[in-house]
Amino acid sequence: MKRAFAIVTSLLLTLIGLVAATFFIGRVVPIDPALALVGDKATPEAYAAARAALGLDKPLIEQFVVYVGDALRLDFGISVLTARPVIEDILRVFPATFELATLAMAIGIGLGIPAGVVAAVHRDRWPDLTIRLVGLVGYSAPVFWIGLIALLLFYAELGWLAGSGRVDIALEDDLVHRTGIALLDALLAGDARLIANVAGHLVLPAVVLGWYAMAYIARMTRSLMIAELGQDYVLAARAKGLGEGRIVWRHALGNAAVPLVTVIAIAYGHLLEGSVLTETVFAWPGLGFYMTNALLNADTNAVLGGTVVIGAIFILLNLLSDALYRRLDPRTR
Amino acid sequence: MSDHWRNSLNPSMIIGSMIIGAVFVLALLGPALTAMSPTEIDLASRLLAPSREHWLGTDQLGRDILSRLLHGARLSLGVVVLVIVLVAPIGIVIGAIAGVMGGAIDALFMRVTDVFLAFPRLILALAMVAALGPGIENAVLAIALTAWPPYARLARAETLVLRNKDHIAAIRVLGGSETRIVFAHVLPLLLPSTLVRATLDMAGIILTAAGLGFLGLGVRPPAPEWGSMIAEGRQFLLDAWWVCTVPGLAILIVSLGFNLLGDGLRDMIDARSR
Amino acid sequence: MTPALLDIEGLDVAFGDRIVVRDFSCRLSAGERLGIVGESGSGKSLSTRALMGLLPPRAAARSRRYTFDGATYDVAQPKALAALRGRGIALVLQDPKVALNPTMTAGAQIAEVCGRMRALELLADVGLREPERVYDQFPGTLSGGMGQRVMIAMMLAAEPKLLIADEPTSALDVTVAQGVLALLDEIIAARRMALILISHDLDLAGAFCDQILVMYAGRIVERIGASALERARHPYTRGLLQCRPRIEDRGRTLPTLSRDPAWSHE
Repeated sequence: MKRAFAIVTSLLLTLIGLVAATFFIGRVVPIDPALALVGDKATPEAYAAARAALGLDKPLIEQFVVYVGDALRLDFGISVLTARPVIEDILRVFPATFELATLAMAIGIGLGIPAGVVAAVHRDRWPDLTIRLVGLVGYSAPVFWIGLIALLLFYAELGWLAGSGRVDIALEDDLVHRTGIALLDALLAGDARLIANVAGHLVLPAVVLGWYAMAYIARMTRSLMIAELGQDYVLAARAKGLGEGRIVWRHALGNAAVPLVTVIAIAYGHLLEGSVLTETVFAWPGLGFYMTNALLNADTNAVLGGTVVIGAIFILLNLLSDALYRRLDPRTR
Repeated sequence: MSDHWRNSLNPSMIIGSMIIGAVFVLALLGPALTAMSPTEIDLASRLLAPSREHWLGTDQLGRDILSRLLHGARLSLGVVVLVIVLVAPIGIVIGAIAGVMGGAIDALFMRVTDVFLAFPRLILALAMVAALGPGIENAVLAIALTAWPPYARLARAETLVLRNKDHIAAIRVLGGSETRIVFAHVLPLLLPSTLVRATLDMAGIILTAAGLGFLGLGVRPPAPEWGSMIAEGRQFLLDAWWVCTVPGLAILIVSLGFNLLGDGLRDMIDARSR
Repeated sequence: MTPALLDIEGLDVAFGDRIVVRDFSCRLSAGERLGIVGESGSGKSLSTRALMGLLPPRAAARSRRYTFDGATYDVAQPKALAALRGRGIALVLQDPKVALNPTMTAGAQIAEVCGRMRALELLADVGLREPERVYDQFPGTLSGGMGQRVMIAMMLAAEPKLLIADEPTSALDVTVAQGVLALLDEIIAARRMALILISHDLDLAGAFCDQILVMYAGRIVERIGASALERARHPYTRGLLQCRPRIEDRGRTLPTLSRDPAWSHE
């Protein structure tokens, strides 16, 4: 009970700190926050409205308290671009990012962990060197550039896969948004052509993002596995006659899995970051696309709202991975 | 002694340092070597494929891509070096102080780093640029703000461990003051791991800076920043693929070089401490 | 002489071109106990690991002859030696806290070799009073003595004929160590197993084993029956004998071991 209290307090404090940082960025840093909000092309009326809405004549502390209160109620103001509450916009676009990031994560875990294990077991031999090389390119290359090259190759030159967006424009009306996750919606509609089309559009961005995740996870898995395989309990397991397969996948990976949980949480955070860039390349209508659009149109509310949301997700991910870590490792109980 | 050093060198480190060395040399000397201007517009030579005259072709405004690349190297490397030089020393000192002081200062410190670590680097940079406007100084500031916490955390963790080690206890017995112990004895021990972390960080910073450039948030045109070159070339992807591809390849090579160098350094340090 | 269970002749172990064990040979029959004594780096552990194919990755071994329980093996092919591990030869390590998987229960680690029923029996055999309770515990919560008993139970699970005990009591305090040694004594006698006991403690090996091998810098410098220990001839062994602290020596400065480089070239 005391621990739960400590965790919640910690969470709240970090969240407030996060909000404070965005407040600082939004209100204190610009010379004229109202101008930053409406942009320099705004009408005098819009400007005056912004000033009033921001309560700029009140003392800073009061502004801050109001801001924090609003943020905790998920009120990030109105988007200048869409004229709707920012939180509404975010909820509308978030599922697309969630779908992409989760799929990329699945690729990252599904390919990355086995690759890391194989690389560790065959250390310094050619499977290891190949995996390390592929991984190295995966996290040294700018993800948006990989996306462009992929589009060039697989869409333009070879015509194998679909181009931008989540679905062909012709089929756009067929895709009824129930969950917001295109693949699920297509499956729910039961339309085979639609499903194939949506899947086709998902492949390229998911693989591009997934390559980065795979590279990162494989690299971490490899070094964790190498550390585990050098431990005495592995020697003892061999000495008692266990097969190498069981030793690697049940014993060593079983122990490496605990810190891997933290790695995966961090990777998911990186993916959210990466999707900002990838969504731009593939015109994928998710949170990243929304935020960059907002940025280019000086929609400060939207940018800051998105920042707080993503930051909050990051914090939650860390919390989750800490909790899982504690559950999985008997040594910490 | 020299034999020992030679045995520690591994291929990763050699290749990495060769790449980075070459990149730095090109960045420093390159612009002086090419006769062509990176900014002069020549619409008659738009979108020319790589040829003997233009080794890497020209972009949509007829500018020679090779010379833009070389000038852009200075920008990108400049950002990276600036950030690290700012962030690493300050971060380490803050972390070491927190580790030594303990108590309320340490708790506050942990809280603050938690907040900064809660931001994905690119997202915070986006937010900062939204507030401050685009420009290279703002980009550097934004990246620096999210780059310092890991160094501080690292320094704090190692300070806490090292403080209680036997040889530090010995110095304490000999009469060394706490601050002197930290700065003269503990901090130097942090140097190897900091170096590795910084090198690997540089790879990531180049990518973040390029990402900002790609989104139009870094340097202003017509400056030849690699990320913005990719963005500009995007519309010509199908017809003049080299405008996009070449700058991206440059980013890849530099980031790869830093990663290889960092990995190699880490392997070398691990091997020597065994 | 009873037919040898283990017969190894001319075993060399090397890391690259650095030879760390040279010309190790011994014959052991069922029920016999061999003690290998030496300081760290003498090669005592590595020679026995080579027998099981458990050398570290960069090490290589070769021998003139290696037979175990009637079958011939090649020390240079560690993968082929997998058949021996557990079933023919078992290895008890020094520190149960690191030699047992920290995230698996004690019982599960035994049961994966022989099943739950047999695992509980073994836990009782090694003198643990509440086998069911220990079965479900994680190694981190076991005391040193209990952990060592679990390790012994684990290594007996595949019914080996030869047990190699590598410093089995070095991590335990004296009274607990006595209990574990008594246990080993009982088990080995009851199952007619052969034993190789590796130790840095000459007295311990002398009391527990029939034959002693003294190793220095990778070579066997003395091969002697335990009862004849006091009459050992090699200067290194004599040095070891003289360095043992005796309660009658109170007040006298202990001699330090002198090492003649010639010993590593014999």
